[in-house]
Amino acid sequence: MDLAAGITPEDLNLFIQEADEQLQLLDEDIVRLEKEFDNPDLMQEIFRAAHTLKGSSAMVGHQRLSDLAHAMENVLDQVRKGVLSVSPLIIDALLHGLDIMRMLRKELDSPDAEPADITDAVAELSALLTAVNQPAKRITEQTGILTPDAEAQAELEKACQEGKQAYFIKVSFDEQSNWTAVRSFQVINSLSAIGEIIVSLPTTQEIEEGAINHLFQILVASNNSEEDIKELLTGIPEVESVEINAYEKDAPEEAPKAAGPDSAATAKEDIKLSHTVRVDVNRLDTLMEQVGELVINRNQISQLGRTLAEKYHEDEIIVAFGDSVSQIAKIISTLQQDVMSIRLLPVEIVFNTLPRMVRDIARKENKKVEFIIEGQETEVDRSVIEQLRDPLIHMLRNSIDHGIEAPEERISAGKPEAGTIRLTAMHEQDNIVITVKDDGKGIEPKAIRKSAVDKKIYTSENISKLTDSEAVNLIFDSGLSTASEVTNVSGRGVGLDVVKTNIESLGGSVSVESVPGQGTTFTLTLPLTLAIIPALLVSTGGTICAIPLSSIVEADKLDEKEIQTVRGKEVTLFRGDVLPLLRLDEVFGWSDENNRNNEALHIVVVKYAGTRVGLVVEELLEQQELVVKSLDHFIGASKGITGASILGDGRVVLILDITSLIRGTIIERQNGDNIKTRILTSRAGTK
Amino acid sequence: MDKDTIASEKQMVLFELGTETYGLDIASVYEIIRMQPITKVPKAPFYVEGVINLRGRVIPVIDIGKRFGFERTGDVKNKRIVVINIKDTTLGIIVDAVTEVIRIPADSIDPVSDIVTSGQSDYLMGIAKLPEKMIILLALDKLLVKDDELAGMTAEGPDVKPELANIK
Repeated sequence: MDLAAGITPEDLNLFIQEADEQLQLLDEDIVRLEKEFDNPDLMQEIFRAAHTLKGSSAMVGHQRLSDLAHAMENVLDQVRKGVLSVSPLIIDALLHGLDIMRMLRKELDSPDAEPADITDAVAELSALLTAVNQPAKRITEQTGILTPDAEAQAELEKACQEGKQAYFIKVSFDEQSNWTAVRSFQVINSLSAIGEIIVSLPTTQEIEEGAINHLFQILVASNNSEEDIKELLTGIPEVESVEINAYEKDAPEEAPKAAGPDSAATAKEDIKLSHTVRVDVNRLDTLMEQVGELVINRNQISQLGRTLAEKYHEDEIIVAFGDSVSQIAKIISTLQQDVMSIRLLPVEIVFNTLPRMVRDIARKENKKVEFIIEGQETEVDRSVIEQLRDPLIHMLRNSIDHGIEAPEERISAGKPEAGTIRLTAMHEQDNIVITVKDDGKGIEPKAIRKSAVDKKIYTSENISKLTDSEAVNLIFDSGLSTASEVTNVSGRGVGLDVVKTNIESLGGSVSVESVPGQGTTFTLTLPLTLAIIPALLVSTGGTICAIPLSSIVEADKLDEKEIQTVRGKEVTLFRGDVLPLLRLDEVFGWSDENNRNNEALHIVVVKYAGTRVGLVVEELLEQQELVVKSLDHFIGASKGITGASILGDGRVVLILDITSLIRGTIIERQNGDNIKTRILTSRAGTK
Repeated sequence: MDKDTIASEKQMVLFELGTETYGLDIASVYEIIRMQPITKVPKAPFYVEGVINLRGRVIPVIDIGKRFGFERTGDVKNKRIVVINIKDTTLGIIVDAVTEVIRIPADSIDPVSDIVTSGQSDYLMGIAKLPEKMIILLALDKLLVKDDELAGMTAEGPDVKPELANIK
């Protein structure tokens, strides 16, 4: 695609960043507009976003994006002026336009992509306009007298001190003029050339937003004389009259003329700039990584300090060294916490993209849904934010599709016509808890039980042992779908199991509660960060591995005699339950049957897909907070490893991803005898 | 150094693998370190020895001899890990010994004959004929591309994640 000549990559990046922001804003606001059609501020915001987008895309030469934004702006303008009223039709057209805009935006990332066609979207938008062929209504004339506020007073005073004279100017434009806004800007431009505009009525911003006022009042500070200004302003077309009065403040002090009038004013503005700084996330990641290295080095130094202290415990220098080491250690811990907190982002970023999706699905399914978001300000680490979207989409789809009933059905059940879905986020200790609650028809445990038996996942005998709540949670099992017929949204029996697997591999959990007839609540719990995790170090086959504590149930000694086999596979009786065993060295393919130390084994009981599996290792070492480092992509191809970390002594340990490790092993073994049946049988037993 | 010299000479790090001498463009070599404890990675491609700690970074180490499929000889004491940087990836390659850094005139580099390489010529940039010996020059960016493909092939089973992507 063609862009304007002379666009630097920096310009383009800036544009992309801005465009992404505006697109996201439009997305959120247009969906909001459907409900808050009488909110003028919202309308204004949408209009401004479309306008900005039009301008900036024209600047980089993305003509189609600019044209489409222009078409949207036209429609929005009519809506804003009250000529068009907000209807689902308009919202659809705007959203459709927005989708095309996103495609146009994506073209910038992949220049080879087929250029998106904007004709349909533009036509759809223009069609809305043809219905309205009357001239735009004027915004109510603003009357009133310009009075400077405290800030303006201060600026005025400063200008006076610099020896300028303040003038109060009233400019009247031709009543018939269609160019009042343009003329107002001309007045502003002329005046700012010769002086400093303190305040105006309407303000520059109001004029930009379309406020039309035939009387334009300006308070200006200038070194020029009254006559000069008058001459300047009467030169502007369509200006009917200009009235200029010297503006006298209560007690204007006569100050000597000072040099550098403008620099002082600019400096003041600079200070007023925002207190926040935009930082590229990659820089933050680098910072985080470096702090992670500091943490590792701190551990190393602390260990050295302890060794030295043991060896020379009388030595004064060593004692002083120990003190200073513990000081540094403290500072590094604080630093680590601070950096972590910088990386925190409100979940809003993800939540804001959801209303649009909910609206679209609900409309497609002909259901009415009231979508409420709470706790969007809750903060979590960036690494977690990225993982939230997909699970949330799945759960919301599920709620709209299976939970909320069709309007008629709801009315006959004595419920309000529109279903309510409430998305809530909050902190709970070191976790973020997100719930998706609907007031739909709920999940019938009976239906789940029947489905599980029909699909031969459970025997009818085993299924009866499950409580209702356990049965309902089976919806996270693969292959179970209770939708009576498959819709295009969900009901394919994939989805919720993927949600569960992914959430668990992140060290989180997901569960569902349901009251038939009253609704369903999904609860999702995730750690606040994935960058530092507590883990248990174990050794097997001469290598040290780390198992995240989040997936561990408990760990214990295991005697060789306690290992039994069922159809050739090892199991043990643990706390009265049959627990399938996996030898970690065997899973890794490092086992050496002859050289195996069977005398002193340990078992780490881990969670896997709602059940438990015993990992057999040689030794349990210690529990540690590990800084997670990602593995290079071509090492990352090996399943069952989430990353690596460096221990105090410089050794590298691999951090296991229990869920994918076990799943991978199951898939591998499925050809021969089927470990899955074993796990499932034992699961039924454990419950 | 003037421009002509740059164009007509290549600076190469020479190392030994078995009985052969190989050369790597010095621009892609980040540093050369002694052998150190390598953490094994389960189910990685066979020539991936594992990962090491390079001053706080975890980088993969590959055994280039295994990659090319020949037996290892040489004194373990002389073994080195050559850390290279290609396409934003840092990785170490184990070599039997690093011998020297030399300048090779560009006109002494010949393209590789297919008969010599039996299809592996992708990784080879050419052969430099020096008075005393021949040096096989490696094109590591090509080597990495092949590694990606290999890594893709070793991944077991279909991943479930694409399903998530579809429904988006």
